[in-house]
Amino acid sequence: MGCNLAQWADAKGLDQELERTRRKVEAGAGFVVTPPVYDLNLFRAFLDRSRDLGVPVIATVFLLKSVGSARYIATTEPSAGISEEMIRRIRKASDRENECVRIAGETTAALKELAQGVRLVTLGWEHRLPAILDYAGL
Amino acid sequence: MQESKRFSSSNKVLVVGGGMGGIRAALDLAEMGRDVVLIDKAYAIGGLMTQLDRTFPTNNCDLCTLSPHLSESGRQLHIQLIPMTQLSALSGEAGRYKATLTTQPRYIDVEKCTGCGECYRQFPDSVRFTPGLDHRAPTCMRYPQGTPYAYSIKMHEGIDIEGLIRSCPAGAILPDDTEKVQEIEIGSIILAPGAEVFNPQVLDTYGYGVHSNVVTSLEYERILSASGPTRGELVRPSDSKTPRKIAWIQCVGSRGVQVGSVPYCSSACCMFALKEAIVTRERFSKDMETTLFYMDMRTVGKDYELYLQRAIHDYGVRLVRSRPHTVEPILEEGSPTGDLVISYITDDGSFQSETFDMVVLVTGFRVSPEVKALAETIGVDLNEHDFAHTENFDPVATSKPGVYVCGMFESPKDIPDTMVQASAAASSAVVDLTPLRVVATPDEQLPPERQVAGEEPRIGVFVCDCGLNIGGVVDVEKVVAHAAQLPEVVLSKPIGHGCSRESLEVIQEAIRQHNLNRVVVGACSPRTHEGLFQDTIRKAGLNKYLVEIANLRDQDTWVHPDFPAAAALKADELVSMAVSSVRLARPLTDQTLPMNKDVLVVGGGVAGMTAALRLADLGYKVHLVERFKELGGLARGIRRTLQGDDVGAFVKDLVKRTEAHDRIQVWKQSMVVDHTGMAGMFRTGIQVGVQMFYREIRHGITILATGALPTRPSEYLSGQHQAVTTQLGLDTLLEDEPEVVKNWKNVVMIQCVGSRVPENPNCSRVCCQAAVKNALRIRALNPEARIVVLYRDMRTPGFEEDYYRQAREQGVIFSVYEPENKPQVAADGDKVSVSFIDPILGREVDISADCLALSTGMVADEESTEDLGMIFRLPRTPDGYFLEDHVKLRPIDLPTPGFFVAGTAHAPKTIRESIAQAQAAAGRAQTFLARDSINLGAVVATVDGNLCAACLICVRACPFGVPFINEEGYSEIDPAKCHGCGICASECPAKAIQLLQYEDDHILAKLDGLLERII
Repeated sequence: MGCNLAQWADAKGLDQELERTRRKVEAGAGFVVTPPVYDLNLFRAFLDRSRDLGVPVIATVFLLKSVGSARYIATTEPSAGISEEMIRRIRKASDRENECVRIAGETTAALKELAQGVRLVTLGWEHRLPAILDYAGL
Repeated sequence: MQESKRFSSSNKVLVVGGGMGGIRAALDLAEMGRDVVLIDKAYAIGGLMTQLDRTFPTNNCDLCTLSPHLSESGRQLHIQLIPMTQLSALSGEAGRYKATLTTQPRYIDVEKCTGCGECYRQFPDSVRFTPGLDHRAPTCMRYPQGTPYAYSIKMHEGIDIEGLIRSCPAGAILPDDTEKVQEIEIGSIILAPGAEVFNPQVLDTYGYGVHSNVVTSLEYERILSASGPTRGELVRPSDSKTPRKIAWIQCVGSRGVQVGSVPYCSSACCMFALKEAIVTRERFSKDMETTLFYMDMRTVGKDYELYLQRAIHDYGVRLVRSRPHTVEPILEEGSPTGDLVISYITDDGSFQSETFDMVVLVTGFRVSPEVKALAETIGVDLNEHDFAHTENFDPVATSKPGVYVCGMFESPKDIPDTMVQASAAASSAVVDLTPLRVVATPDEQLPPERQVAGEEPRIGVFVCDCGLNIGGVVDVEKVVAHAAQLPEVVLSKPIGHGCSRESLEVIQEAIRQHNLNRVVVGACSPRTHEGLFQDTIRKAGLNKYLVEIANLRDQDTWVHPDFPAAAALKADELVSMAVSSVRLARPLTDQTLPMNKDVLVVGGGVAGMTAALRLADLGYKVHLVERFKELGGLARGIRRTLQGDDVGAFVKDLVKRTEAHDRIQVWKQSMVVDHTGMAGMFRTGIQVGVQMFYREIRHGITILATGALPTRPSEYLSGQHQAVTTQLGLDTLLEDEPEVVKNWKNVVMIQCVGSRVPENPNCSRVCCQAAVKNALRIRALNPEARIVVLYRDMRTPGFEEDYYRQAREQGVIFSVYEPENKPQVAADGDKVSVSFIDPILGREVDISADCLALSTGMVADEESTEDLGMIFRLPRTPDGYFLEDHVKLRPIDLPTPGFFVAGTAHAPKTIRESIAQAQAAAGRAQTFLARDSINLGAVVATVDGNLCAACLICVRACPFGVPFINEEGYSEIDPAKCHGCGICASECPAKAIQLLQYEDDHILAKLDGLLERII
C-alpha cells in the first residue's frame, strides 16, 4: 500500500506535505507517489528532502498533450516546474504530439536513475504508451 | 401552449431584396432545408455588387465565386424567386405571418425567354437591362448568369407591340401582362432591401451634374468595369481623354456639414475609394497620380489597415487630410478645358488649390423612400437615420418579432459584414419556424443512370469563352476544331458561358441527342465549377464522374494573357489531356455516412455562448469547451457599450442561460488536445478540469470562438503610474468610482496604443469608440473637466459617428498626432504630464493629466490559435487570427468544411459584431446539420487483394490509420474512413492500391494526351 503526494506551491507547502506523508508512512504506507515531474532539478531537490521518509519513491510522468495543456499547467500550477523553455520546445516541434511523447519518454529515462519507480499517466492517450517507452529506451 | 403554436407555424421565410445579403440569407435557409420566397423589386437579382468592377481587399472580381450558387443547382429547390415584386402588406405574427406580394408586369414569360437578346436588338428603348448585367456587351465577363435569365419590357406609349411580339423567336412576349397580387403564408421575414447611393447633385460647390468630369465613385467603378460604358477603358467623360491625375473626395453626403448630407459615416467608402485608387494604378499606369482627400481613414475591417498601408507604400496613393470646399472648372478662352481645380485647407490651416483631370466624389449610402415606406407598411421601427432599429445584443432583430434585417438597411456596411448579417438573419429567422422539418424535402427527380460500361467512349467536348476570359486570349473555335479531331470525340462545340443556365441545357440536350457517354468542358476551375457540371450530366442520365474539366481559364488564359500563341497551344494540350483522361473515366458511387448532429464550440465568451445557445435552442446537443474557470471571456471586463447598454448584466444572463441549458454541456478549464475526422464525423479529444482527464467528443461541426487578448504594451508609463490606465480600466472606474472622476481637471486619451504599429500592424477596431464612450461618460459626470483625445484617425464607422460628433459638440478636444511624432508622457507627482504637437497651433502643448487613458486594443492569442490551428489543421493570418475561407464572401466558414469562426478569433470586433457573427456561425452550422448523411465522395482507395503482398507499407503510410490486414491476409481500406489522399496508392510497391477517379491508367492516359505529339 502506498500514498500520493499532493502538488505543493512553495517551500512551506512542501514542509506540510512531507509532514502529512510522514504520518501516512507511519500509518503503513509502503511507498509514495509524487506529483507529475517536469523539472528534474526540482525533483532532485525533492528527493533530498524525502529521503528520510525511508520508503521507495515512485515518480509520476504526466504526458502533456499540447502547448495548451502545458500552458494550462504552467499557469495553474507554477510550482509543477513547466518552464517556458519546455513550452517553446513543444511549440517549435514540427510534430507537437510526438514532441510531448518524446519529453515524457526522456523524463522517464532520467527518472529511472533517480526514483524507485515511475508511474506513467497518459489519460486517454494510452495508445502512445509504447512510443513513450521507446523514447525512454525501455 | 408554445408547442401547438410552433406546430402550426409556417415553414417558409420571406426574403425581401435580392442583393448580396438577400441571396446569402436565401441560400443559407435553403441549405438548412427551409423554404424561401425571395422577392426583389428589380427584374433580376444581384443588387449593388453586380455593378462593382473589383472588390477590396483582394482586388478580385469575385462574382465567379458566387455565381455557381446562383445558377441552377440542388440548393435552389427550396428557393422561389419572384422578381419585380414588393411586399405590400403584412398581417399576423411571428411564426404565422400573411404577406401580400405585388408583382409588376414583366411582359415576358420567364419560362420561355432564352435571353437571346433579339427583342433588345430590335427595340432597345423598350427593353430593360442593367449595367453589369448586359451579357451582350462586347467585353462583358462580369455577370452573364443574370437570374432569372430573362429580359423585361418597358411598356410605354407608341410601342410597336406587334413588332415586339414578332421579334421574339421564343414567343415569350406577353403584351397583356398585368400587375399580380398574391398572399403567402410565412413564418418569418428577412429584410435585405439595401440602400441607395447619395446623389451629390444637391451640393452646389462640387459641381456634380455641371462638370462632366466630376463623377461619383460608383460611376467611376462603371468606367473601370469591362462591362461598363467605356468597355473598361479609363477615359474621362468630357473628351474621352485618359486622365493622368485623379482626385477622390471622401465623405460626400456623409458625416455631414453639407446640404442634404447625412450625419452618420457610410463605413464602406474609405476602402471603396482606396480600392479604386489602387486598381487605377495597378491596371493602368504607375504614372497615374491618385490623390484621396479624406477626413479620417476608416479602414477598420479585418486586415483593412494593411490594405491602407499597401495603398500608401506599395501603390503610392497620396492621402491628404482635408475636406475640400469647392471643385471648379478651368476655363480657356471662356470654355471649359475639362480640368478641375480643387480648393482645400490643410491640417496646418494653409489654403491650397490643385488641378486634376478628373474628380471622383465618394458618395455614401442612405435608406431610400420606398424602403422607409416598406418599414412603415410592416410596422418596423426606424432609428433617427431611417435605418432599421435594432438592439446591440440582438443586432439583426428588428422591433417587430419575426422580422429580421441584414445588410445596408441595418446600417451602412461593406460586403463581409453584410454576409455575416445575412447568415445571422437566416439563423434567427429559423427560430420562428416549426422546429422540425414537417414538409418533405422536394427530392429532385433524377433520371436513372445510364449504364455505360462496355460502350465505346462517345466523348462530347464543350469549350467556354467565358466572355473574354478565355475567348479574349485564345480562339475558342480553333480549340473546338482541335478537339473535334481527337479519337472518340463525337461532338465538339463552343458553349459561350458554359455555366449559364442556357448552356447547361445545351450540354444536357447534346448528351441525349448524340448519345454521349463522356463529357469534357473546357472551362474555368474545377474548384468552383466541377460540382455544377457533375450535376448537369447527372441530370442528363450520366454518372457524375464521367465529366472532366480542362481548366482553360485559371491555368491558361488568366496566367498567359500576353502570350496568345503559347496559350492557344496550351489550351489544345489541356483539352487533349482531358479527353484522354475522360476516355477511361468509370462510373463511381459516392460513399455516404450518417451525419453526427452534435456541435463542438471552442471558447466560452459572448460569441461562443451565443452560438451554443442558438443551436441548443433549436434542439442540437452542444459541447462548449472553455479553458478558464468561468464563462464570459473578454466581455467580462466590459461594463457599458457606447450606446450605454449594461454589458455586465447581459453577460451574466448569457452565462446563466448557457449553464442551465439541458442541451449544452459546458466543459470548463478544458482544452482541445487532439482531433480527427471530417465534417459530420469529427472526433475531438479534450483535457478536462484540474484533473486533466481525457474525454473524446464526437461531433458533426465545430465553431471556433476562442477570442483575442487585450494588448498591454509597455509604453506611456503603462502599468507604472497610478494615473495611467486603459480604456477598460477607465470603463470600470466610471461605473464603480464615479466620485474619483468628478475631481479630475484634465483627462488625456491616447489612441492606437499597441495597434497600427509595426509589432501589431492592424487596427483594433474597438478603441476609438471606447474613447468616445468614456469621454462622454466623463463629460456627464464632470462637465468642467478638460478632455483631450490624441488620435491618428477617429474610426467611428456607421452610427458610432453620432457619438463622436456629440463628444466634439460637448467640447471634447480631438487632436491628431503622427506615428513618427508620438505624444510624450512623464510622471508628475500623482499626475502625468503629456506633451504633444497641436497641428493647428503648430507648437507643443503640455497637459498635466489626472488620468491618462491608453486606448489599447486586441491581439490574437498567438500561442493558442497556433496550437488549435495545428490540432485542427486550420490556417491563420500572419498576425494569428483564424483565416476564413474567403475574406469577402465566406467570412464565417473556415477552409476546412464543417469549421466556422465567430467573434474576435476572426478579427478585432465589437460585442455587437461578435454576436452577429456567432448567430451567423450557428446558421452556417445548420446548413451542415440539416443533412442526414455526409457525402464522402467517391475518391477512396481500393485494394486488389490478388496483388497485395501484405507488406504493411500502406498501413504505415496512411496518416489516418485506415488500412489494416484482414482475415484473408491482405490490406483492406474502409471507404467510410478513407480520406482519399492517395498516399497509400502511391506508396504501394505491388501497385495493388488504386485511388478511384485517379486510377493509374487514368493518369497515364492524361499524360499520353499531353505528350502525344512529342513521343
